[in-house]
Amino acid sequence: MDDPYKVLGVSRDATEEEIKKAYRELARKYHPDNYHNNPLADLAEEKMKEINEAYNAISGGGSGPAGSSGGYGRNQQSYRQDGSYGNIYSQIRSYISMGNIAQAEALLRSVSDHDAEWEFLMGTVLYRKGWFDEAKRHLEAACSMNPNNMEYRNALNNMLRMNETYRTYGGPVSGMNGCDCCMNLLCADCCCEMMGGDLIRCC
Amino acid sequence: MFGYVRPLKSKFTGDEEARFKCVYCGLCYALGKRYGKLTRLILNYDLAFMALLLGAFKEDSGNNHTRCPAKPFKGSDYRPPDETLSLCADLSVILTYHKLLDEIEDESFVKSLSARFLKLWMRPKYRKAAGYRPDFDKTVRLRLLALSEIEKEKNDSIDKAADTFAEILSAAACETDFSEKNSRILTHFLYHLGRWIYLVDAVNDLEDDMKKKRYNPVALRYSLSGRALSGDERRELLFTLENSLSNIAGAFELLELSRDRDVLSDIIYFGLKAVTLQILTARKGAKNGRSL
Repeated sequence: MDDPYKVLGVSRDATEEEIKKAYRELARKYHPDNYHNNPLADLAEEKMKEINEAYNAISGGGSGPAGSSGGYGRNQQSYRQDGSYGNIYSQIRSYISMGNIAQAEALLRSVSDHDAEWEFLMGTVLYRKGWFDEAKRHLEAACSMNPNNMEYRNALNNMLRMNETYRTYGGPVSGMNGCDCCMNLLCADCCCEMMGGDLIRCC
Repeated sequence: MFGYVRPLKSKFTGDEEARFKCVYCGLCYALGKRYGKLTRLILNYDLAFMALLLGAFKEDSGNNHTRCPAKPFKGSDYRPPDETLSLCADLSVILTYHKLLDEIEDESFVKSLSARFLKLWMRPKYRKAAGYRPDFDKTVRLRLLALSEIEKEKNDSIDKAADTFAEILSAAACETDFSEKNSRILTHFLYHLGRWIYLVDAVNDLEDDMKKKRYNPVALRYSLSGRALSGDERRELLFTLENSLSNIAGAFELLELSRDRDVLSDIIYFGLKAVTLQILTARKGAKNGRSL
């Protein structure tokens, strides 16, 4: 194992508080939520493990801030089968969990009846490919066709939450969501008006 | 390329700016050395960023100093030509040449005259670059062919259209000699950088494309037919762009770099974010950076 102090990026005489802070910072960066449905998730998991081990080594094997020796971690999603295309869907799910996205997509495209499960799996496949615009639409379709399915709902929520770490990094420059978005538009409008243009016609 | 990947000046420290400039000047110098002095005009921020990123895997080997047309008296520090800068110079030439072809295709004969002249002038340089990087050039040609099919069928998927340019940029990872792990991360990084550049460019060109009745994936996606994007549509685009940015950042944190992590981090977390917001909130184009 690498030098735990180096892994956490702290000096050997760092205080407990500094170590905790460094750990939290790294854990936030490599948290599985940031790599949800990301083809690099395994590498982030490895990194997270390394950070947890380093933290545990330094803090004397006690429990990390995450509450257990495992620290932050995510259980692999278990894909259940559902719907009348049970067999083909379970095959597609196994392709997805193996990371064979092209095969999963080809199989999905061969199914003509698009029920909620199909929409969910298609959304998952496109999400993994980085085709986020279409992925979101398919996941939303799955949720509206079967609003009680928690798996679909979670997948959509995970996607909607994924940008948070990037968006909030380093504070102000960012944030264009809800209120912030309006503020940005208003600011842009003011700037445009100062320069003789107009962004929002009514104000 | 397009010149969207640029730093947010206010977030740069003096030292970071100096290092970024060194690479920018280094790429300019490499272009001049490899393809003739005038070729330096195709220099742009996107490829300078690429040079900074790929160069960050290698240890620092010092800078040189020279006078140049841009700074005839004071001169400037530049990173001396190395494998990375040569690669980025080759990529600049290949991408610029294909962009010229695209412009000639899109515009009327008279309007494309300047592009036609540039094409004639660029052709031997392109041949040379394509000779150095045959695999990359092949990917560019194949993916642009796929893109022209998408354009012809007026496909309304922004993901599908962006995928072509994303694949082009990620093919640059194959031209490096990094470890399997780094090259895998880099491929993912460049895919999303390409996707982001393509979509930001599409939003930026929206008004112009609609006026000239040219293909624009964002216009088709939201059936705009001449009207501006609504607030909801802008938010949706922001979401999809931020998804790519978040993937870029996620990949970046996993790369095993030897230097310039701070400069790159500033560009990724502040520069790209600022450009995204600027493009989505501004009416008129926010293009900057030198590019043809």
